[in-house]
Amino acid sequence: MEINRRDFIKFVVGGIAGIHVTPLPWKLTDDIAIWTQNWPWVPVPGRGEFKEAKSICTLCPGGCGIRLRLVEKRGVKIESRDEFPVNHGGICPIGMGGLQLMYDKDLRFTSPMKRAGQRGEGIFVDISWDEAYSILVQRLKELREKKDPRLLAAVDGLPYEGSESLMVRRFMQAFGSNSYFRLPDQDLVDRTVNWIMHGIKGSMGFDLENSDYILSFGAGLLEGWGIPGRILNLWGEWKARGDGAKVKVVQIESRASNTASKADRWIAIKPGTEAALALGIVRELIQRGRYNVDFVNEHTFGFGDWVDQEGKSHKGFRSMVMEAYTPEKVAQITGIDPKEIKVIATELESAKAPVAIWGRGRGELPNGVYESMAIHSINIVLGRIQRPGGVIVSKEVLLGDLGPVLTDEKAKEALRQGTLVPAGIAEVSHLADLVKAILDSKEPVVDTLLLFQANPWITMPSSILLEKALKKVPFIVSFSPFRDDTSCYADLILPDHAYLEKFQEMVNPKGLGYAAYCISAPVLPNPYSTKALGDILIQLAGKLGGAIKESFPFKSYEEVLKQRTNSLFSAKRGSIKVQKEPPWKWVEIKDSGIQGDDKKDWETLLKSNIWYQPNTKESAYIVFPTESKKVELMSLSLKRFRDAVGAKTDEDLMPQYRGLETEKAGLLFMPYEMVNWSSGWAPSPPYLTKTIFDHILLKQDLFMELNPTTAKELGLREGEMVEVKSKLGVLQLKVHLSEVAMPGVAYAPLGFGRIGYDEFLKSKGVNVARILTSQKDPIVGTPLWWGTRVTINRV
Amino acid sequence: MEKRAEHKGPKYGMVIDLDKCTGCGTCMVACAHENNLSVRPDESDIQRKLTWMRLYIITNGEPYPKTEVSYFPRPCMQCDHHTPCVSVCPATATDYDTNTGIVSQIYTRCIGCRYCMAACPYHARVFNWWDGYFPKEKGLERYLSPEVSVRMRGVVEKCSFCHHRLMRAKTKAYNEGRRELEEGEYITACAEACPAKAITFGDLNNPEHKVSKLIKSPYAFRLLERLGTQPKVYYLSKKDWVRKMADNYLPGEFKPVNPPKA
Repeated sequence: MEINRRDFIKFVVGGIAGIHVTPLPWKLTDDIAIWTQNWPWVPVPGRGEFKEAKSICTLCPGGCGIRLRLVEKRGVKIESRDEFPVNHGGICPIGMGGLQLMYDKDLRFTSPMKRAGQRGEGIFVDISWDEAYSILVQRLKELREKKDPRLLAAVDGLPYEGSESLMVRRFMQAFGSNSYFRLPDQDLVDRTVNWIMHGIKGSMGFDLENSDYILSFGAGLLEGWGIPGRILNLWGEWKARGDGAKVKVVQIESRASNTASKADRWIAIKPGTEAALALGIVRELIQRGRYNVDFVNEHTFGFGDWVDQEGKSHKGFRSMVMEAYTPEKVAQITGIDPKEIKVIATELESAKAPVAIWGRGRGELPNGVYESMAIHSINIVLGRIQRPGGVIVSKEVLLGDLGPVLTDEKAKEALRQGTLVPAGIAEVSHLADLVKAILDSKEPVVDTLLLFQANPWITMPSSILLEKALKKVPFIVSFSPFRDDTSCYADLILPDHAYLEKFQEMVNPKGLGYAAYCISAPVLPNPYSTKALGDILIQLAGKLGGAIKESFPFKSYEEVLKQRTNSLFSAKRGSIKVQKEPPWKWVEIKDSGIQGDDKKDWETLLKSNIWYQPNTKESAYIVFPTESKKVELMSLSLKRFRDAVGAKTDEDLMPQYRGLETEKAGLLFMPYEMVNWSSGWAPSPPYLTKTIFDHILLKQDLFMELNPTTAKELGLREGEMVEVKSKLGVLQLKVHLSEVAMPGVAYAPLGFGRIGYDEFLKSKGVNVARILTSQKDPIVGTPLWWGTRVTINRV
Repeated sequence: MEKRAEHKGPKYGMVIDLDKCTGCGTCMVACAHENNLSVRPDESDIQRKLTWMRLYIITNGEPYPKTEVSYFPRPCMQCDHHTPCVSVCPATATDYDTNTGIVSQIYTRCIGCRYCMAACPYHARVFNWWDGYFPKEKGLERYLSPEVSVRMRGVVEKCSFCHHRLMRAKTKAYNEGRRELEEGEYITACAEACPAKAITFGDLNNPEHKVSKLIKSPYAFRLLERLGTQPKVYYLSKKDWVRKMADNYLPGEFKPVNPPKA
């Protein structure tokens, strides 16, 4: 058949036109859309049976109840638990992203490791457990035999009352070392306050579920203070109530943080002067006679003036406050109108269950001891101790101890000699003490350093000094499950399981208003070659042999927990199942769920994940184990240690305001913390990077907030890159103009500028803790960092 | 344009209380986790960031110390009237479901023209400029759920009111021999996650549901109401400056709500 050109063209055009009235083109487009989306590199999540598992979250000392959605053995989602007393349905963004921390392989140490690069580079090679143990055991044996066992130091960031921390201290004691250091954080300060004022060795709690007026001196309620899951949930509760039953929150801080913006009232105060305002308020209450006279007379010591045995008269707390904290003096120190003091005092008077809380942000960075005492004295003069809605200072969790620690002659001899680093007054030393000793002392004070759940590189004020000190330590071992910043300086890694892979527990969750013990069994299988920390310690002790081995006669960490909880069961207090009435109702437990059979009780406990004991009316009648048997507004404990703390006068034994000496020139430089970014030990789950606004972090640049008037004075514009210089060092930050900033103060967020972890967190921004200059807290020597002055220059 | 079929059954909507909202971002994390969203190493570019629920920060514009900040969680508004994205999609990859009120997104139909992104007045839609970041050795795919498809580059995605959770709830109900869902059986991931319980989710067609009662409050408002999109996400705030941010008002146009007399 002959087809000429014209016919051919007609045929083709006709064909094309014809195709367009058929479904073919549209079907083809649809099919191509599907075919081009089936590439093998797009992950197809594995299918399987859906299951649910209950657990707790210990990424912070919160112990929030969580439940996991599992597909076969894989965790695919975390949710909170409404019925769990601690967080009653709340959860924080870090907890919500926990599965990313479990499953991002590059965030973790997947097996024991040996350093392969320079200190700080974070380059490691895998080794076997046998090799790791043999390296460490050999070194420790040599330390014991040829040098001084006290040259083994431990930096312990684990919750102090927890079983793991107990085992660390046990190990150290059996080894013969008293070089045990906690982190210099708010927890340490608060425990010191509890001991100084109430004589109690333990943490304090706040019965916020029952408070109706919360006077917060800088506590970042919406920035992650306390147990974030619990507090965020409470916030919703407080806002939900009608105008009549409304809970009022007054936030006192220099910056318009989330808490300050969303509180019922924000009082903008000069940074570091909170104690002066608190004592000004106490003075106003005393002057009006509107304080809890009965409580003060019956249960406090040091309030009124007194005469000593020699007939000399001494001023008490009342006289001290009346003289030193007049409205005019307070106004001058804090910048706050004296009228405001009267308003707050009136509100405190008329509230049924007021409470004063304190902190600087979340609590990674510490407050001062004197200032915490000053703020807490509001609670004392109002008699808000051991009362609904007030401060709970005694929370007993009767877990068993592990029996006596066996020490051989070597250990006994070493421990008899005292500490290589001068110990603090509260019997516990902290890392700032060690850093100073390493840098200042001519003799070595540490040979081998062990790191337990601590990442001070990111949060310790003046962390540039920590870095210098770490470089001088001959051998550093980290047990961290995550490739954290401080572990980049380690020589040997013996990695712990990550939280959901091991038995977790939390004794007295941070700031909870009643005694509680949260515990859970592992809910996810461990895909790597890591071991639970408790098991590592048992095995290490076993390999060291002798008395050390005998001090750890346990088969496993699980056995340790079973042994300790047996005492909890036999004490027959509290409840191991969740009661109908929540614990903040202050109601007696009727059926505790404890059957008196250790095996059955253990199973019940692992099912509910909690033991707790609500307060009752009886809780108000505790005996304060101070020297005076009362709450001490003038501390006899401090009197005993007066030389160590430099207390020369009676006033030095009382709560007070002490300003930091700072240079006059330069801007004040204040870090701030956020609820949606980790500034602590656990890394930020990568999902959190989505929540960071681009005026906080843009690509690799971190922003510093300046008030527009301050920026104008300095001639700085939005987005400009500047050099921020303190006495300790220099950082590069970009400028962000914001009215949340107090004029004259520069703010930058904490927790950025990481050197560890992986591409989600590494090198984003800078670590502002590095250039903070600190002075020593006179009582415990923790860093007082809010007097850092910086100069700013354009780059 | 063809006439939409009559709406039968539930009409799912959301009420977000901005005074309870703490700006914590848990809703964003829960949403990203629930829906298999990819996280890129750099998430700071707001025009490239993949989020279905996004938190915005707003400020009252006052000088220090009268400054106040607040937060605005913004999911897809699931517009009820002349849904802008649906009316422009050339591939019918997005459609309004008259059985639930949910505006769906079918990734395998999407040809990536981004016309819907231009049409959406709320910037609720995001585009996968790249494939999801799941490097082989990292193991991130282990926390992905099989209930939600993982998207690849070239398709638009948006909040689906966790439609897979509706399927989950309906399957469960069906297995128990019932057709009706009770309030709370089907809620979105963000509503479940919010620790302050600021997000309420439910059936706007059911007068018993909390959302139906909350939208009657004088403090309830919606974003850009005067565009006429009839969003099914309502906000509550007692603060006038917050409510004023929801639309563009000429001077004097905004009417503050006085507190109702007790």
